[in-house]
Amino acid sequence: MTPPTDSLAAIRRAILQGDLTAEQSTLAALHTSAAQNGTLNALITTFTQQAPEQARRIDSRLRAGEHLPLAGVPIVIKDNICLGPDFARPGDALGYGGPTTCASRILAEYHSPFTATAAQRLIDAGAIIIGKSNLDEFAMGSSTEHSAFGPTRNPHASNRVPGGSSGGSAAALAAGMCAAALGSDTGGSVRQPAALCGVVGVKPTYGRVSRWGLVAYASSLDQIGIFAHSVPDAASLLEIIAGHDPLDATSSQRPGENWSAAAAAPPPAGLLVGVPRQARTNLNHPAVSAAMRRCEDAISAAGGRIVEIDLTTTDLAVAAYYIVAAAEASSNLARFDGVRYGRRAALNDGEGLEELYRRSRAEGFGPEVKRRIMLGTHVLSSGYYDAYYLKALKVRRLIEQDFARAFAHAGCHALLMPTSPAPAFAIGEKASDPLALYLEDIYTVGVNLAGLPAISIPAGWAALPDGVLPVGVQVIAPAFNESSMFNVAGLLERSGVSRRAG
Amino acid sequence: MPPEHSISADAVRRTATLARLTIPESDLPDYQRRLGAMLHYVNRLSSAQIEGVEPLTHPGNPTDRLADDLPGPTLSTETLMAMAPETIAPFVKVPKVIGDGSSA
Repeated sequence: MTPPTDSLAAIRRAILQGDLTAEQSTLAALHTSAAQNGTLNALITTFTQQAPEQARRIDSRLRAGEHLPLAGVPIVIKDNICLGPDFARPGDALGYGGPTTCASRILAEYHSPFTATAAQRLIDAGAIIIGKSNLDEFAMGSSTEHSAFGPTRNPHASNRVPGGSSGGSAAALAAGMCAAALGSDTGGSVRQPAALCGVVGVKPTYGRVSRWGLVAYASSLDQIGIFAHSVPDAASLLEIIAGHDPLDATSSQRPGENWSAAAAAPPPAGLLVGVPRQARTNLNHPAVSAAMRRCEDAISAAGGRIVEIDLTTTDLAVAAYYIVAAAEASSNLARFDGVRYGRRAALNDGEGLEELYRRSRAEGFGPEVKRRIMLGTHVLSSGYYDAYYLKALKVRRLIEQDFARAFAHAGCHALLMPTSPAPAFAIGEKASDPLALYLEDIYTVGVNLAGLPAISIPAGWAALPDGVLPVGVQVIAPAFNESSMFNVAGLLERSGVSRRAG
Repeated sequence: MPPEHSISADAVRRTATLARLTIPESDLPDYQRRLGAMLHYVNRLSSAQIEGVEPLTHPGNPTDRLADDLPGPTLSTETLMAMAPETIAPFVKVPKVIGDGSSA
């Protein structure tokens, strides 16, 4: 039986050749999940009964001659992406949507009546959703410590964080519970956990993937992303979930491309890759600096050229991001009021609607979510709007222009940057100082503010006292140029930068 | 976190009211410190040359899109009502509203 740690391409081949059934592939994934989840806490919900049932349906459709590109591929979905009761097939109620909790007490019992478009496209392609993964509550965090269901642990060293906020998806994939996973990336929430868990993570261009059914955190930044074992696997998944969706007004009309081909293609003649001066700092962990050098060397060896560029706004990006994201969060999360759905606080006699709102929210949200709602409310409030929010939006324009200059004027096909300045830190290490945690995101948030596509690939290993931890490097491309992004990432992967030295 | 960047307890109370959050008095010092530290940190934005720069609210060039006005499937009232914590069919139940303008 092929274990789910195999690449998606291998599972696909085995199923096509009849060496593996969807049911076997699903049972293997569930077996690994059962063995690992007690330690890792990567999954909030596991579909132990329903996933094999769905797999048997897929097997019978395969026997009937149907072609399903993701037949039997076990997949994990971040628990801020909605699965409805009939998500297996419209009108074909398996009744296994399960709750969509966002790792929050306020939604602990919430069952979505509909299914996210990105998840539905995977299901329609024959994928088997085996579980919903843990996250920082409402995707607010970089460590998956801020979950109402407890922290997720890093499969490479269980006292360390997996990164976040999609830490459950990254850990599940790295531990072999699935062959791919979905997450969401608002400020690095796919790329950073991918780097810290040693897997590939893609944040597509803003608008590339429908966000229908993704619970909103910061709407001008949120994008659904992919975790996979390899660059070609990630490319083939994006081909399935990308594309216009009438249910999401921000989803782009641009057609998708053959990204699998781009991932496998040789680089263009005259490949030029920019490395920001600001990312070459001794604040990076030595293993991260070594990973960057290895990638630069790989590009040169393939006939490409590295050019140093200036991203002068790098040290402003985190400040701009936390204002914009918190402001949008305070507005988006206003919908959780204990009235129409979600948890409602019990009131004392004589207490009114105002108390219902305030108490339901105070009891339902965890501390980090409350802090961000408070920060966002503060920067939007009368007297502070110009000083904080408007200023952040203007700096956001400068950040966009910084990237545009690197691509248009310097002529770079892509940029190369660390994903995170260091390997995974210990659980609890940054709990008392959120600012230190926010600085984890220094290399990732700019991409979201500018709406660009970026991919993180494993590019080295750090030998630490309690384990050997992966580090990642990200490739950033111009908006809607995922082809360039996959092309350079594929080149790096084939050159062996991800391989663990003996 | 340096305490000198703290914001006032009143500022936290005011923001909590706007955010519709109950914050116990005992938690105020923590919010004063943490929010103060964040606001101090983001002050670095003042170093940017932003005169004449257009604010960017969304990436790319979003244009208003109008969908065709066609009927399609919708969720039933029953499905949506089933999610509400308290109902008196066919309504969602909330505490008395009139006379409760005290803290808004």
